[in-house]
Amino acid sequence: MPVMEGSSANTLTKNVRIRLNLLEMKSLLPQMINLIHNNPSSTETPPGGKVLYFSALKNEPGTTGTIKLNPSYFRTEGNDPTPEYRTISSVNIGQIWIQDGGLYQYYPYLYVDPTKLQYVSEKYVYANGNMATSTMPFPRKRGFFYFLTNGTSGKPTIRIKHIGVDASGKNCTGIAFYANTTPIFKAWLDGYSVDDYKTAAYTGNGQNFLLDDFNNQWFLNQNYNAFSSDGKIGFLNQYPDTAALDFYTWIPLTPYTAPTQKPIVTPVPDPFPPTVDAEPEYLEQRKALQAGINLKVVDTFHRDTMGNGELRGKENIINNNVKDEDTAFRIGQIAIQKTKRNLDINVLAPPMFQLEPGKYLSMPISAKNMTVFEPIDSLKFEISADKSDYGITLKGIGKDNS
Amino acid sequence: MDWNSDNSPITQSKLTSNHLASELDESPYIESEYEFSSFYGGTEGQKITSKYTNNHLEWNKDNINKVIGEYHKFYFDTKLIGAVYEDLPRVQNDIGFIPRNWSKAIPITATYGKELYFPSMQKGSLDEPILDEYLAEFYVCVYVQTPDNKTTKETLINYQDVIAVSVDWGKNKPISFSVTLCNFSRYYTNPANSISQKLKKGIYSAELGQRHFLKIVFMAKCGSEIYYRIFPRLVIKQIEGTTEVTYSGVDEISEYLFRNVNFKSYCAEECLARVATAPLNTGRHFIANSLTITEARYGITKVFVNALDQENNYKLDKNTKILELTDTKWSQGVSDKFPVLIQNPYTAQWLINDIAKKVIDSQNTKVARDYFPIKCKFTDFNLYTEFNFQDAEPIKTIEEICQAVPAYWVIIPLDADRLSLEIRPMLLEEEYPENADFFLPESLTRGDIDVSDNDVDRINTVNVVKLIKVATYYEEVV
Repeated sequence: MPVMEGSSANTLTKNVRIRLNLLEMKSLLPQMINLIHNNPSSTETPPGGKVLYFSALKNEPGTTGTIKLNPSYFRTEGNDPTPEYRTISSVNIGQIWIQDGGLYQYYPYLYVDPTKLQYVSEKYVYANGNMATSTMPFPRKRGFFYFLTNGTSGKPTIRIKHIGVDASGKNCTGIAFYANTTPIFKAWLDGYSVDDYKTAAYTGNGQNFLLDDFNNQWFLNQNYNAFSSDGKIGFLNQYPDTAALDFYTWIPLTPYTAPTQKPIVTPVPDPFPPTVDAEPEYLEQRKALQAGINLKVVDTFHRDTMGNGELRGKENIINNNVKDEDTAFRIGQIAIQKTKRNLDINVLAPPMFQLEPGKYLSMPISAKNMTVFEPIDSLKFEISADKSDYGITLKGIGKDNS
Repeated sequence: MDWNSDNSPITQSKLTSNHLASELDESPYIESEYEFSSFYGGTEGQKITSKYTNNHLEWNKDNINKVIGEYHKFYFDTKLIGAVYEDLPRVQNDIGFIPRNWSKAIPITATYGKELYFPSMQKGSLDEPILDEYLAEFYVCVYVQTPDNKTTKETLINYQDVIAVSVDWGKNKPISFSVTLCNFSRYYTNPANSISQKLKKGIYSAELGQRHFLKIVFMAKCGSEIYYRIFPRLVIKQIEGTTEVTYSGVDEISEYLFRNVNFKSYCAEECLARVATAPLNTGRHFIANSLTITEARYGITKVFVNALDQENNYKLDKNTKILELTDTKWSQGVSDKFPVLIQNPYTAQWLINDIAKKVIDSQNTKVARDYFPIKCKFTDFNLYTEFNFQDAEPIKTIEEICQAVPAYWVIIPLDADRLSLEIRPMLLEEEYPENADFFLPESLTRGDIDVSDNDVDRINTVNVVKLIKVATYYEEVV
């Protein structure tokens, strides 16, 4: 695929940039639906226009997902197109930037994982909306570049990859466009090779050149029709340009036929490999938060001394709010004591209204040969036309049923 | 009659039919506008003694009937309901008493005459019963209480219409009551009468926009001593009958406690979740979702990270419920494996009080918030159990706590307008007081003493179980 043209490692280790007309985006990348924004991480102003850089998700190249591009980033002063939302999905997005201003102001650049670009055809889209049918590589010993044009008019793009030294062994310091032998535009790299794209500074009369510092690529920012037959591109090996130039004759574009075999793609190493912590092994342990109680409360007098044997309650008293063993013991004692009072004693009394449930009442019952001394269980007030009863209920100690 | 300005005692001569007639011009029902609690004195008892009783008012049946007779006369003279009463047989009763003698016009002191009020039953007494004790009777009057009404707090139900009243008052159960009224005139069921709107089921009447209760006042007389036992705030739960209509129900507190309520559960222990959002996603910040935040009255909140007690190395924001581990050991955050557990127990008394408050709060917002007093007479202790209140009866939880004390609960009338919930510890046999509070001579009992077996099997062995609570933690394999 021409997009991945750079057979050099320099290209492959980076993500390949595709220039896309937004209008054609869907046809080019069916997966691409929209561009969405993220906060701009930095801005930079190359000559001829402003470049906005946008971080993708977490600013990690190769992140799959959806990012958002604020439509306001498509705007320029005095030339305000209708903002559009766009979505990209199923594409590994490394970075997005939009050349804001100049000719390419509405053309976002998507850096995508080259392995994911199976759907991209060898079409390039130009600023005027026309599409080139093919691209032509120009491999040279100093490097290679290619020149895209739609033939008769428009604003051509020069792509130069991996420019090294020229024939005389000098570093390439710039580039010039030639019509026949007359240099029309020149552009220099400021004392650096193009490979040092990160620190390359562009100087010269190239307000018509736009430097993409990511892929060593220039754009010719002007209509130029003279390249149809005799356009040339030369390297500048001095700065400023006074020396001789190497010329390469422009070869007209020929239709590009896609290779029948899939190109062998060197796997792109993940620049951010997931870190795997060596986690220690853990064993699950159990620990008691609250001590349990299982207390057997025995009335030894009735069990042993009276010889009744063990008369166990039908159910255990289960209560998780018991404070401690002393309380549990008391709860058991109370439970045994309750069953001991298995007599209901109901008596009608004079209306002594100072009595209350819980107050202790002593009462002899001579017929039963007993005296009750118990807390009052309940009181009953009954008054009607024929009677006025004031009843007291006590719980008395009944016989041993063993 | 200006009850408020008359500070002089009303003597027998003042109680003429003119007074009654003027009072009853508008309605045969006397509406008293005073608050009972204001002149009952303290809250301890309802023992009231009129110092004018001996000289000016004879509280015997003849005297009462005399007053009743005045009332009868007027009652049948009037055309208000006379036609109905003349045609139908009327239930005769003399169980009521004229509450006029209670009014503010008669200065009543709450002095307690122990020597005169059932002297043979008092503590430590070995006296023989006196004649007054044998002859002692008691009377009743019934009020409709409307505590939200600014002017009429209580409305007396015509004592002649009160046919039968019964109240059952005991430990571990609600105060249940039943009041039967004579309703030949359909007075109590006629929607045109305002009193019929107050005699409806439930606490709150949407028609009236206020709460309504019944209040039953029993008056016992022993010689010249009078003692009132008042059961205020009774909620009607059931209405039966037509010509004789019977209202029955329970007290207000029990009505609340036996309701099925819905509010947030109480949670004393929680395994905390991590805070995921910046800037607190440090691995040291955790959030409690369900923990019940109480006052750290005892300073017993504990935080465990992987079963290690963090002692004081944490900060708990009680508003946001966010816990921060401040120990430098956790500066890099806590491993995902490690459970972070917080224990913030509540005390039993706090829980009971809080439940009672929430039960009141969970009512319709139109109902006035009238929190009832609670007296917990046991030593407070911590609870680490969770209590759920989704469609649950609060009394179940209170009884569960009572079992753990061990204690019992009882509704105690606090004064003429208030009830209280008391939780008292249960005593073992050897802890009973040496002397009983009261003594009942056998000769004073009326009828036979009924002693019956209640078929409870006596036991002498029981197991008390508290379940162990286990937490998971992780130990590194070396």
